[in-house]
Amino acid sequence: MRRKRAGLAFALPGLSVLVAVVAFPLGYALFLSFTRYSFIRPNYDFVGLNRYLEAIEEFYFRKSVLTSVFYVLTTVSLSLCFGFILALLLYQKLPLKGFHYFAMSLPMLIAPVGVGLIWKMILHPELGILSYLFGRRDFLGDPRYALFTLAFVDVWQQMSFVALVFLAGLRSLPKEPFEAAVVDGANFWQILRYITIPLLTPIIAVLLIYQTVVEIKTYDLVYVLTKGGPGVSTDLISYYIYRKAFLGLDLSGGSAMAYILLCFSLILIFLYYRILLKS
Amino acid sequence: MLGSSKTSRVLAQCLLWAFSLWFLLPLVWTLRSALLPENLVYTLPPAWGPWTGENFLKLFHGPFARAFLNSFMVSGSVVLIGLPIAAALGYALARFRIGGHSLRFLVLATQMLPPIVLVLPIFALFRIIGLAGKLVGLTVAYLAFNIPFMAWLLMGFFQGLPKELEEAAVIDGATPFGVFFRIVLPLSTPGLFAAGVLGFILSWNEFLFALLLSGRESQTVPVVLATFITQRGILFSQVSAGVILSILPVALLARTVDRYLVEGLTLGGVK
Amino acid sequence: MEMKKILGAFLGILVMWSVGQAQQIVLRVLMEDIPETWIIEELLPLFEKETGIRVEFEKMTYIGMHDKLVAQLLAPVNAYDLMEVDFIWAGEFPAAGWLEPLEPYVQRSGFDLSPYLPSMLDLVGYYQGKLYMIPMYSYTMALIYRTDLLNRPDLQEKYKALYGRPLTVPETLEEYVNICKFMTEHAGIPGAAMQGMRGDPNFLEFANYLFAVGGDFVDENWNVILDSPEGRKALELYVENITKAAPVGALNFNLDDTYRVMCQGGAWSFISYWWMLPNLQDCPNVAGKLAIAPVPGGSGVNGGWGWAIPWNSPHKEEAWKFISWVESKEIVRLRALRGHAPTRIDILEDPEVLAKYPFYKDVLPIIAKAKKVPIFAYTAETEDVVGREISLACTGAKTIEQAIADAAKGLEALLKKAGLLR
Repeated sequence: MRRKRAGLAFALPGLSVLVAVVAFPLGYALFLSFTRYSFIRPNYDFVGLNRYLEAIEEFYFRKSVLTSVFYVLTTVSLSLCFGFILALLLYQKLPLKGFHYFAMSLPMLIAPVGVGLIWKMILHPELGILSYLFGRRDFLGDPRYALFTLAFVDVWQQMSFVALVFLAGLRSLPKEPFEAAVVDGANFWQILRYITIPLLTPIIAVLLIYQTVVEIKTYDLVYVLTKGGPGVSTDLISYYIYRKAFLGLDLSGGSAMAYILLCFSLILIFLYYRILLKS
Repeated sequence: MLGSSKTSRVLAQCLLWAFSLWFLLPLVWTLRSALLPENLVYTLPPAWGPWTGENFLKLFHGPFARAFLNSFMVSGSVVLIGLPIAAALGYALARFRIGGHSLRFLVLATQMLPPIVLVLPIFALFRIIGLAGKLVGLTVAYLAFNIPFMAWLLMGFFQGLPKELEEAAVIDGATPFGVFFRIVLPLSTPGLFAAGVLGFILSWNEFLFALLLSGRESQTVPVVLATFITQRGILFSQVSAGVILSILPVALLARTVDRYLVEGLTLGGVK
Repeated sequence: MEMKKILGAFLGILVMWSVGQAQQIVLRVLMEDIPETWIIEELLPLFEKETGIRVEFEKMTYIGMHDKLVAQLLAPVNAYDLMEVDFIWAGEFPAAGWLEPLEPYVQRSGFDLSPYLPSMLDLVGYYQGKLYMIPMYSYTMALIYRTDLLNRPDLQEKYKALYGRPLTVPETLEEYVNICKFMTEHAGIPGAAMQGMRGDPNFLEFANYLFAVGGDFVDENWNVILDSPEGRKALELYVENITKAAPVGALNFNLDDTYRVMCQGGAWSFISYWWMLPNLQDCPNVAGKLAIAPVPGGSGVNGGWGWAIPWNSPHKEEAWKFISWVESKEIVRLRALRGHAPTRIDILEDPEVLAKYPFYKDVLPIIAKAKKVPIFAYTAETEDVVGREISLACTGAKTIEQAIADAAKGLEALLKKAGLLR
């Protein structure tokens, strides 16, 4: 009983802030998703699950979901892999660590709008530096490459934070298991596989979930770099919902889509959790 | 920890340099562009001069200096206020099984909706209670939306701590708060630093809420950066200058904090 | 004793000052952060001297303006007393009931609407017969091209040899595309810097092509006539031009990209906003080598901004005072002389203004004959939907016929949603 009360005491400040500020818009958005509310016709006629059905029937919505799934899987796995490798490297005793740490910390501090703009400048097919050095390549205008280019820019920014968290994780690991393993004669790869990674499982889980949520929400980059084109190759779901709400003036439709997205994300994360807990 | 063989060390160095160059080269290019007048930014072959500081000067005379301070205050407040709250919540979720798995996911679920759907009700709410257009309002909004993430991150770190330490302390008669403050927190300084950075960058980089909830005096850096996307064209040299200015001081600060606070504490703290 | 007196005097002054402040009305306006705004800002002290009302401009980027305005318009009281409305929202805002009808104000103050170009009033003035805005700025689209290349003797000869016609400013769209392809092949640079980015860029650019072949999106009764031989022809020529005569990456170009390319001398022409012409004079590579002409076929896309009073403005009367002052003949003339293009015929023909900006002579007929894209509640979404179809046609993912049919269907659905079509 005492433990329960102490636990509540710890959780209360955070939960109260959440309830006070976040619960209202969440509830309102949920409520809206059952109406036909739009800026042009601001009345709250109840229509049940119609908005959800309409969304699922919309061809471009479904396409956007598929594009996003592919995009999220790509960016999350790349940022996690690269971030982990970088963190391992930074954890070693190599010269000029301070310099490398400083370099790593830079991309995450740039607002996505800024990231998009500087890469737009670098990737310009005629006048950008990459085209100048490697010949004219149409990074963002070719529907075959645009999504990968977007992912590339995204990973450039995201992996630096992932590396930082992994580094923190590595630093918080207890030293005994490693000392014991060295005594037992284990080599680097064995230690990595049987000690480091298992010990880091909670961090990996958290990062996996966090990065997934972040990548699903990618829309700043799309807005600045491609606006969903060429064609519909970079029409990611958050950008799609943004357009639905602000261009289509359809806040209720956008809310329905957002909740569909939420369900997907929850399922995905639940699956992650299950898989990681098993191992 | 790495194998002591020469080749593996050289390989590791190369890889590390590769990463750092991948991060730095675009930024070096940005710095170049920041130091050129607007009409030379896109010339080919690339211009390497004449250099000018006019973009930085223009920024200082414009709203950027103010925005930088605003961003810093908001993000700093989010870290200072949010970190303790998030740590407490993370600890409750990690060790006390409050609400079981469902609460964990519920807390995270608040993050999974695209901000577009949430920003208008928040804006309306804030207008009514008078927080719209003020930095305090933005800070409150960021706290509410960043605490779940920070709590989740810290939950991961707390779960990774060996339980025996905490149990031993309880046997010795420590209260839950005592365990938290004297055992768990000191051991989690790297995690606290990471969560602090998370709270900071989420607030530092956020655009949509800042756009709608800010007034003339309370603009933040992302909003000001966006002002360089005019209907006339994008002022790349100014954007570049803005990007450079917004990251350099903070990156230096981050390194300092990490070195003295985290490394210093952990070396003393662990075991 | 002395201290008390000084303190008392200070407090008295403080009270009087704050009361004075409280009584002074301050008008807040959300404006785009561009030179035109700065020009008006310089003149604001004149307004304050005349009326005692202070005006504060909150300047911001275009890309956030719509969202920010919408948020304010949904609230009970607006933080802004007055706003400028882009033509794309000029249907949305009145349809949502967000703008104050201006007829009563015009009647009461005797404001004269006759100097305004009818095409501008149609675009950013009236919506469904009611007056909601006063035009403040025009950015009609036109053809801007390189005269040095057009007049090059060797190119002229070659063109004549190949096609039997002289190389001159094109009068039809087919001729324009032909010249663009010719330039790409023989002048060594792409013929047209096209803004193929999906959405506002390619939609507006395509609309010029559509108007140039005599087509349109809708007729007077809002029936969709996009899916027609003209529509298909326009899209065909658009796709042809962008795949054969545009720079690499044009499918992702927005306005800024095309401007950069033209500035570096990287293309022969582009169809863009008319104010690009003075803008490009700042580019050493092309200054003095450019000219403007109407979009081949005669009618380009009309664009512009208008002043409007939000329904929930805290100071409507004062806002109108400002509008009638800033759009008065005298002030428009001052603005024009400092570089702010006018929307009033009398100022566009004013001799002093023409002396300083001679190209207004060419611009006036371009604005007068411009046509507008469908302006209604969902214009912004139309840009996105139709833009998407155009982009899909350009990548080859859809045939021309399919893309035009889908675009028309999309537009029809939006018009039905807005209640303009049964």
